[in-house]
Amino acid sequence: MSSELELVRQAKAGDQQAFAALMEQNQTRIYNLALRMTGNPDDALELSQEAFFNAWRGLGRFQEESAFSTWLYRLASNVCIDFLRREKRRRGASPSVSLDDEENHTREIPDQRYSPQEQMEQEERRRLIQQGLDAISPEHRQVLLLREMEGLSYGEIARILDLEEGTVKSRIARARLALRKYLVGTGNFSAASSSTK
Amino acid sequence: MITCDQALELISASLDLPLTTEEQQMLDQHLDGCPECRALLADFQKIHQELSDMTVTPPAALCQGVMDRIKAEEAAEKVVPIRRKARPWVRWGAAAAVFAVVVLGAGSSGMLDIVFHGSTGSAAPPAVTSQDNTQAEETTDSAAAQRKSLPTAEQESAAPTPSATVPPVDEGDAGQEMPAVSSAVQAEQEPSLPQNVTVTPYAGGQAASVEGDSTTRPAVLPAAPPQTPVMDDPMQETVMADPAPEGAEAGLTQEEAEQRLQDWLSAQENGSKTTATSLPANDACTDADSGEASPQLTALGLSADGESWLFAVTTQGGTNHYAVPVDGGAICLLEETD
Repeated sequence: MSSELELVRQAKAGDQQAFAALMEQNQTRIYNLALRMTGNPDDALELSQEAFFNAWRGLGRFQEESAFSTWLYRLASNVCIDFLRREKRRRGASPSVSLDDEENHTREIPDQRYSPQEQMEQEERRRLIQQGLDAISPEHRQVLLLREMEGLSYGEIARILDLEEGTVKSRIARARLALRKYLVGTGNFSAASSSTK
Repeated sequence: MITCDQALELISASLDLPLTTEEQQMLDQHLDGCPECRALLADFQKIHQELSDMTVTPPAALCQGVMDRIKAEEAAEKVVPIRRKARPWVRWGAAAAVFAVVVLGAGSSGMLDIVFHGSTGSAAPPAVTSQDNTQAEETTDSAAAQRKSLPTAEQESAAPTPSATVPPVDEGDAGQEMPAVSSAVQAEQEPSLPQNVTVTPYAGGQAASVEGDSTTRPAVLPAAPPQTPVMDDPMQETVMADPAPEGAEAGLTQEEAEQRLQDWLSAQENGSKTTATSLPANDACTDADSGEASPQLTALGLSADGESWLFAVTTQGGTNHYAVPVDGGAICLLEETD
């Protein structure tokens, strides 16, 4: 995106306003990635800020060979993974399932387009999905979120994570399977939904 | 016929991009005979839809917080380190060192008391005391009554290296702390300055403060040359001591200034005590920002004019910048950001 490239070049030259504009363009995707990776809005805010600050300081190293957002995703992904690993060590080698769902999970904001009943159901579904995300490995969570929430292609994800596309494809499939397994295990997903085929 | 494991990847990929004709055919063929994989596909589609809808708006503080941090870092980078500038007080410090030696000699002969106080026996610090006087000055600065204890030579001697962290002290002890460091600092800058000079607590300083804080404090501004001392007037004694302290004071070291600021912020937060570092209410500087608990204090180095140590104090409410004058003057809030 030429406008993104222009902003990047201005930011690299020290233009803070240009960098602020880049943040505006990317904050939703970065924040949501961090939010779904951590399941905690406070952590997500802090990690997002850390990722952006690292981007500011590291602008000189951005080679413009890939999209700025790709580079930014990489920074944010690394920040989130590092955080999750620290948290895991801090809590002891316990499963990645949150010890306290209420504490760690963000309260889902219901979609106002739906009726209260539907909103409640939607909120519950999302809460369960976040629990499921917390239950799968950080690596699975990472690729799944980049694909499902950020809408990135396999190629883009491969560049962000420095993986082969085939690996990305396979890992996403396994991530979906792991998440589905968790949700089925909670009784909230049908183990054998009727097929349309 | 593909296996369920092979079908898994095709099922997953089908959600992300179009399959090739061959892939689609293989998958369709498998799904026709595998209800589990059909259920898997349905669940994957649900998950896909849910995750796609889970986007939330980031908080407004996200960008602002980053920009604040960037600006704070930029401000810190603009400060000119003290070492880059030729500091006049370094030369004064050398003069102070010489003067101190001379005075010490006079003091040992008993002449000093007479010179300084017109009598003997008072705990008048010799000029060497430029250090002490500096302390005294600071003492008076901050409601001397509470900071009577001035650094003794022992303390000074025991002072760690100039760059050593000033140990936390009670407000009342701040005066003691500074002197020690001051002497150390002076030593740093003026190795010739005798650090081990024996000095007595600056009772004179106290007197001076009693007589008029405002006079003593400003009096000690680094402006006056050490040699100009007034030998007959306790007040001026302060002045004299001070300049020397200019060298002696070399003013506060960064560590001293940091400790002073911490004490001052604590005092502001507690709302009352004046302590060692609290400054006259009529000072131009505002006491802003008190009440912030556990602020993160970042040293920014010396100001461009070399007269103050700059610090950034960051709290959840934002970042404020303070200037702690090298000469022990009033701490000033430079800017406040939230």
